[in-house]
Amino acid sequence: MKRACCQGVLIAIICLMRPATASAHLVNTGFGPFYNGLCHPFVNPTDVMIVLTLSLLAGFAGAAEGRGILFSLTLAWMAGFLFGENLQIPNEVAPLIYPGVILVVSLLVVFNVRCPWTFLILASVIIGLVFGGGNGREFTDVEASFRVTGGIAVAIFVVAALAASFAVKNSHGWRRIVIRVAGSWIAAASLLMIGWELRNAFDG
Amino acid sequence: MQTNARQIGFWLVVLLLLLPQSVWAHEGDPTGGFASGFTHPLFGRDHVIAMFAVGLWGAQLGLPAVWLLPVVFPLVMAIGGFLGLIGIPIPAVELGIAASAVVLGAVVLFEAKPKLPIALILIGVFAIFHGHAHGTELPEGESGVLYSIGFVIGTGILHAAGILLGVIHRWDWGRRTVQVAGGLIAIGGGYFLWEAVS
Repeated sequence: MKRACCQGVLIAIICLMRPATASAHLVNTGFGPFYNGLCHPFVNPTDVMIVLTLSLLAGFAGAAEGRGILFSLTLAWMAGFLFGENLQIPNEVAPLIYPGVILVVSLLVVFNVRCPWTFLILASVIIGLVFGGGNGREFTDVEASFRVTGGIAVAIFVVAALAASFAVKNSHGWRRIVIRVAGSWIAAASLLMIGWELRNAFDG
Repeated sequence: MQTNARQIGFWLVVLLLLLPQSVWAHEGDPTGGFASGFTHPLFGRDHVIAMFAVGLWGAQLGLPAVWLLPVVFPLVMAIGGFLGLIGIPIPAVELGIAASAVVLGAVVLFEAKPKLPIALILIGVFAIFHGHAHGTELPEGESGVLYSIGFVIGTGILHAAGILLGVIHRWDWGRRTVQVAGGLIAIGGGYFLWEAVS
């Protein structure tokens, strides 16, 4: 067994040493449509913030609510990305709406509001459509859009699953308090973002 | 007791490791991104000691203040920051910041334990001054998303450092140490107050 492990490690090292083209400047080449989609939420902090916050809120409400928004949020996000041209928020107010939504949801986490299942599903659908539509504006390659959608869906689903399950597991005692503290930090950051965008709007 | 001291030591090391180091690539964004936001609260000594004092006081007050204060302060500070960003003036901001260090240091020194709403109102008032100062100081740039996140986390970690140190107040020697820390903060605040008025 040990010998097999050593052989495996040796083979892995030899494979890693095989020369390959150093693909630098991925800004120009990209990862490919699926992986571009997979990475996109993680380079757009507002996307991660809303998914995290909404999932924490759902997880606080319970396991059923957490499971529900996994699919409603992901599917709505995909729909918004693919078909959301008519749902897109005008450019003038979009920078305020996204952090505004994050602020509201995070305050629900802070104030320990237990939201009913229906509300959470409805909120996740609306949020998914709006934020997904925003993502859709950034990807102009129509041919690759389904693969990009797939990547984004995987990323959203995984982040939501981890956050919701974390909230379900830690929904009692001091652990719940820690999550509420994190929610307050998210709320504070989103409030600053709103102020920042307003300043840019006044100056610009 | 040894295990608790080890745990405290471990988390202190973790906190120290979270202090930003110099290797930040591609900080081409005019706002400086997450790193700049994270380090911004650390650059003002008057800010640092006041936020540290909030953590210490929270630890002295115990539950639920120990977590309510670090929730209220960043939130209200963000309101102050919002006001500063959109250009709504608040008078005597620097005096307010210096006074916050004096008052918060004093309440830690004298182990003041007012009713919870009074404690929250007190730190909320001071948080407005701190936030407003930060808001007017925030650099121009295209996007403040990462900066805002880094800024709030940096502030929160200062509170957490104060709370972590304040945990030692459960022992007699720790209680005295925390009081001394409060006294030093009050003295520092007095110095900044003198600087602000002179």
